[in-house]
Amino acid sequence: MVIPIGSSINMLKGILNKIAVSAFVLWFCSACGGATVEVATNSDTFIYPDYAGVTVPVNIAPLNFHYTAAGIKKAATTVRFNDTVVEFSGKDVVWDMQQWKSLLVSAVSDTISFTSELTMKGGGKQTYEWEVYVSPDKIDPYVSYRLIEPAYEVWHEVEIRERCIENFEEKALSDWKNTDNSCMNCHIHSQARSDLSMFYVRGKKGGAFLNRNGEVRKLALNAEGMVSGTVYGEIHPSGRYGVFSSNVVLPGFHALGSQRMEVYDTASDLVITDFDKNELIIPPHLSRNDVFETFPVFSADGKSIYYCVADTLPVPREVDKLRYSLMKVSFDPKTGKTGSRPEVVWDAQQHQASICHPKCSPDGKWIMYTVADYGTFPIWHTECDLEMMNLQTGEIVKMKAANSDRSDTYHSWSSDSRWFVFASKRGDGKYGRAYFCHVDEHGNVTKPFVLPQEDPWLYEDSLRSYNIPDLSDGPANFDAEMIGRMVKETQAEIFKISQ
Amino acid sequence: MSPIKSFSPFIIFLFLLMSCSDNRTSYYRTWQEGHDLTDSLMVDFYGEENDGIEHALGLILEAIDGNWEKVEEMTRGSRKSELSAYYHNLAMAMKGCLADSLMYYYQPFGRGLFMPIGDESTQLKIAARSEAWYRLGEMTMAEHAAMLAQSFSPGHYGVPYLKRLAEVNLVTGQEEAAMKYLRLLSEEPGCGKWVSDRMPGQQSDEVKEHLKQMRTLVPTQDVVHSQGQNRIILKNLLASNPDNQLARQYLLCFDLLVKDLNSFIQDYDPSRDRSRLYDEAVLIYLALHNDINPQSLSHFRISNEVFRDFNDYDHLSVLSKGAMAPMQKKYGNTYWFFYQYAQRNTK
Repeated sequence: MVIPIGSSINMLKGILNKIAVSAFVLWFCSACGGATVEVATNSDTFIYPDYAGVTVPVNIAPLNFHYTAAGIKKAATTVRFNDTVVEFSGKDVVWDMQQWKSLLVSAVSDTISFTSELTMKGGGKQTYEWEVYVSPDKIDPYVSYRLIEPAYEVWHEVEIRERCIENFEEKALSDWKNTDNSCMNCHIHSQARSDLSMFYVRGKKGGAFLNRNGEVRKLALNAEGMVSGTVYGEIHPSGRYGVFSSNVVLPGFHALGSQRMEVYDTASDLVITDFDKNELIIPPHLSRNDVFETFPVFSADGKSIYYCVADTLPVPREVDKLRYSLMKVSFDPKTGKTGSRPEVVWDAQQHQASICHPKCSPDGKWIMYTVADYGTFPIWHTECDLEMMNLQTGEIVKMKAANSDRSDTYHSWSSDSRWFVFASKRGDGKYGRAYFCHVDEHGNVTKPFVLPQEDPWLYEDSLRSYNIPDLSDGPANFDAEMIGRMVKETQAEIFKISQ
Repeated sequence: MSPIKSFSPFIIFLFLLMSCSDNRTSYYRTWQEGHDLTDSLMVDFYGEENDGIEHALGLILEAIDGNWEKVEEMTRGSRKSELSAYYHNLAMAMKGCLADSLMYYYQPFGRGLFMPIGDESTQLKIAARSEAWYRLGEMTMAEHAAMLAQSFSPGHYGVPYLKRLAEVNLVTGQEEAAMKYLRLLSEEPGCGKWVSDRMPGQQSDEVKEHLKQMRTLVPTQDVVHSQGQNRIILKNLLASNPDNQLARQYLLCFDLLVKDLNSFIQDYDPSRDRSRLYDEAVLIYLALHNDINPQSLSHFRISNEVFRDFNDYDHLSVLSKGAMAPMQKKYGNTYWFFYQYAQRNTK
């Protein structure tokens, strides 16, 4: 190759210019950042994630963590169970997988002790003694969630991922790369069954993706006569039916910063889907114009539907008066028909609050839901908390141990009804993360712990939320590439309204 | 000693060498260093030509630091760009002279004050959206816009947006969130002082004063609004703090830029809002309502000079039979001309 002299001079100038600019930037940065700043994290806890005093399932991945205080000179961590002693030095505590697994198996139904000794740069010492209880109740080994920036209604490069809770393996179930940057909504399982789940990919080529009987189908759950396509809902334990709301969802912004966003419906009805007949059944008494019906789910035995309902109001002007009650109506799994006499299970007027996102435990004992001061989508309501009701006695459990001063919502049960996962914005108040709690047969709930990560700094470094975490008893039988192909190549099956 | 410092003499030598030939700020390269992008990727990501990128990045960075003189300097001239208009208007409003300068610059209607978000939005326009909301005191929208800017950035990460997110949360008193962003920034080269000046409990006097001033602008009453309801947002800011001069200028000028004279007359207070621009708008409103009379002119404090010019404009308009050129020559910088001739680019 022959390079003209003029070009080579220009090239040389270009190289020199680039070197000089880079050098300048480095020098400039060095000068500006002369004194490095150490920023403490999560000052209310001495470790992050806060695993002190939690109960974990015997099959959980290693609880890697780091110390949060600024000015730590030296950190030593000693872990003891019976004769086993494991020692760590340094601010970050990262377990060897095999060592952790062995420890958990040996400590099942017992308590592991931790001693944290911190030597501070000023010379002081801090010592913390804390424990982790290992429950013999295994948790379903997979959780799926949508990873998305909390930028409210606009998305860019979102994905639904599935994580093995027993280790740190994660895979994309659907992502922007394979779907032309489509929006997608969260992956829900019927009673945590990996062979019965569904999620949406939005956009012209999107649809509802139903994973059933080892097959994934792309469905168009929309028809003339519905206020919109299906939105929130659940699949019947038999797999034949689904129950959904069809909502006209609008996002609004609060001028006051504490709540930020208010998502509300201007119309919403319920619809039953028959996945065998490709039919949509719209019960008139569950699709009234004078009320908003939303968030329907099946009871554990599949013989009832629970849903939320509120009188229509002019929104967003009166959104702070919008309060949803919890209703129950019978459902016949043989015909897909609903009873005509819904009954009130939780009365919004009586509680002066609003309920959303009910979910029944697979053992049929509990229904868990979110309570907020008002509205239907309280992920930015700091007051919104989880609560559950004993379906046999009507007793309400406030679940103080699980709740925080930030939004706690969007839970899902494990298949054995002993664990649940939920999304909480505790801590920084902006980014939702998946937290797990154990529930015993009496409804006692343990202190939640966040989904463990291999990198103990991941949550502090991450700028994405873990949206609508959902447990499953096994891995999904599809992945992002397969869904991407279906988005591009498969026509969505048409559903017709049943006459 | 860090590798950077061990190179210092060489680096300083090179810097001095190159500074002799070219000492202008290179926002393009500064930004590129932050994002680690190649030239072609820059165009792909930001959707602008390189020259436009350099200019737009400069505006974004100078505005975040509040260097309004520099922003004004960079937007001088007749660049027909929405970003230039947006930052020029903001710089003028920060100096309290938005109304007086409005018709002397390219005005893409409401987009000259608020950057909308849509399918056509480029990365840089998304990046710019937060600035006006922050300066106005609307922290929900400022945070929302900064998060969107973050989302649409290469790698979903950008130092300017982290700074804005940290500032918003410091203003609203949400220290845990602010600390998250400050910690991330503390690991970015060149941000050490910026972070240490803003650390809760250790803030510099300048930062304390800035936060105090910003907190006076934050709404004290709630309203739920949708994206794009700019007038509702501005009125709420003014209901919370009638002395929010930036919001007042933005409200009146927004009414005028979207040619909503009915709203303008509702919002306008001739006893406190004084500008020839407003007088010109009032005269159109009065003419449209057949209400030009001494009482109205007196009520709206219309000067004889403006009224005389308005009659001349009307006369010239009849003589020129609607031709734009003669009107533009004499009255191109009036609201009358904008109202009559400016048309939205619907492409």
